[in-house]
Amino acid sequence: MHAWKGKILRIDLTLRTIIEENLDRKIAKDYIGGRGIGIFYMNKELDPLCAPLSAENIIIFATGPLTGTGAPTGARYMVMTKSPLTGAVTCSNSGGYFPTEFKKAGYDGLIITGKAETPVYLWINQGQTEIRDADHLWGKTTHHTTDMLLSETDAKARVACIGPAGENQVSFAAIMNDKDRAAGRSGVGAVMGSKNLKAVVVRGKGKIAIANPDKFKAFNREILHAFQESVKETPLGLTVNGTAGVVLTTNLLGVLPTKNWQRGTFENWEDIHGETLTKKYLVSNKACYACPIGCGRKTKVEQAGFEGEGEGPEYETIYAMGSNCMINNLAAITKANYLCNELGLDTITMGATLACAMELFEKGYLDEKEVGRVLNWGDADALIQLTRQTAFREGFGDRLAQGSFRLADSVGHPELAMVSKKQEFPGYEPRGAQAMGLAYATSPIGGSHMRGDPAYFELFGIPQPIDPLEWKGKAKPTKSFQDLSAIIDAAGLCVFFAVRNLADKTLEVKPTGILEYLNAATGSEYSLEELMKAGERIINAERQFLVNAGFSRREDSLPPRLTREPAPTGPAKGSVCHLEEMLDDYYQAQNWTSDGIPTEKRLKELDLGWTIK
Amino acid sequence: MEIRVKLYAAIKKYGPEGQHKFNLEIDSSHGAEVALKNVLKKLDIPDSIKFNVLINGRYRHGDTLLKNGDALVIFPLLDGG
Repeated sequence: MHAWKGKILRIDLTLRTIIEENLDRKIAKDYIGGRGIGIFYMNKELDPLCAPLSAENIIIFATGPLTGTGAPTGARYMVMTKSPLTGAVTCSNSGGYFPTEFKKAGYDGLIITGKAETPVYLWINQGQTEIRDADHLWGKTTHHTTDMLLSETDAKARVACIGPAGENQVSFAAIMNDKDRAAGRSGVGAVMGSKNLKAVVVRGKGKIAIANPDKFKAFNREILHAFQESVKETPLGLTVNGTAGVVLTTNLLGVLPTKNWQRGTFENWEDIHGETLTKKYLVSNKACYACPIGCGRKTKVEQAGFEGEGEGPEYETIYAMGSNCMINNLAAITKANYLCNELGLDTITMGATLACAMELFEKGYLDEKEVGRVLNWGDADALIQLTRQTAFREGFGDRLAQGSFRLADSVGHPELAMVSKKQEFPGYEPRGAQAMGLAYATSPIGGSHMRGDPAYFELFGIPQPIDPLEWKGKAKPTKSFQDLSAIIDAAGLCVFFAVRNLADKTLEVKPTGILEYLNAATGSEYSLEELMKAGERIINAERQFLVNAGFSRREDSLPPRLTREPAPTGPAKGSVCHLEEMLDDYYQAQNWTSDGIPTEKRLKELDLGWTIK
Repeated sequence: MEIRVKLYAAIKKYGPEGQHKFNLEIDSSHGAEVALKNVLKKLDIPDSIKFNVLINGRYRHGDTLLKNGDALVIFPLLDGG
């Protein structure tokens, strides 16, 4: 096969078996790879009702056909499992260099089942795999673990591992690769921890075959040229200020979540803006494999109490730990980001859970004795202390480790958790960006922006600005962006590049550029319709996993703060998110029932009849 | 009539005399209506830069007619997050 390696590696940690099997050519074409291949195997092999932290759960690492090919941002892999945070599927995506190395070691995907008796790591060396003892690594940070593994395997190997948070099964523990890149969301690290799997180490020297190298290279030149031209039109973009540059945009539009989502404007936004980060702490950019953008931030903080060096923060971290907690101390936010990377925590859920705790404290639902300290808005020291305590489940950290929904629910106020499907939101306020609310509510993984991101058309003006306060007409473009995200994630590309450079400029965002790359790389001769149908197939296959796990319209929800309390400040003042109206339109656009269940007819059109239970 | 204008980020430097926050006096005598696109022409933002415009916090297209006291916010197209 071209572009795909055509092989899946299966490891059962209970039986300690290592099996290679072929990836079926038709399945590869129909599901593309990455997120698509992942959900195919999830539906085939996992009981959707299983306990996420039991040996029964499986965890899948999957690259896409464009991962490692040299297509711009073709650097990514997807981690899929049943989430301990949401009970739904995870789609935790990461870039860096690990995914390409994994693929060059000979595989499109890795399926891990069972549970090891004692801590282990996998050493996948160019088609030879060993399950090795990891007792000596247990308890170590992600950075320390990575350094130790490189010295005992191969200095050129790449590592994906968990830190103490994953070992302690914190429900939002991340899997970190290349030290500071995160498959961050939904607690994928906790699932690794529950299996006693500390790390996956890979070394690969194999080639990734391209079906039509001349066509591929010519298209690559064309796309990179167009990208360089487009950068000139948008100075001070992602390359210069990273993702944190959009603090400006979200605050201007009144959608920068502030004080646990009580409002969407933060008076001290300039203190936490990407331009400030660039001026005060940026050491250099950091790019993933084959990425012309380089939005990653290598930073250094010298301010007393927050000293450190590492990567980040990104926009989402800045919202969650900054405005959302009323913290305008960028040094503290950056330091907390370093801690999350080293301890293996998702920065979004960490910050958002702390913001929820601050509101519970303010309202008297938590007291000083339970928290172990005073927990006022804006307390940067609390951010640092409680991030550490969460990873180790010490004191109040043990309650934060369950995420904001379970914390708020435990004191009788689940409505104060800013979540969808129990997962905390990224930093765009749906009262001022209606389609974002629809995307959060219908994302298969709960509160997320990366599985279909209406921020592009509502907030960033890409491909064209659409009034963010209008709810009518939002269902169709939201569906189109979700379908596009499925294709991007399955192909192994990055949303930041592909939405702007590899889709057409209409609100249908047809994946025209991805089509060219896929056909040149795989030789599979996708038509545009087939590729778009593959995106829909992935979205519907994920929905079926959720339906079979008991999810329906009831779980496609937002907290009442966003649907009933009018926004108090900014351009969205007086507005609420019209979720229920948009959901009706959305289910219709999907051909799902009014309860959010894909119809049998729709599933059969997509060759998904087999997912009906 | 008078329009309040604020420029941000890479657009900042294109205001009159380098200002990024200023009031723009527009001749609307004899009841002449003034569209957003005509006001934008009065600023020196190069054609090569893509930007977004908010009138009183809302995205509005170029044909939108302005009123005395409207607040115009202009910022470059930024993405990511």
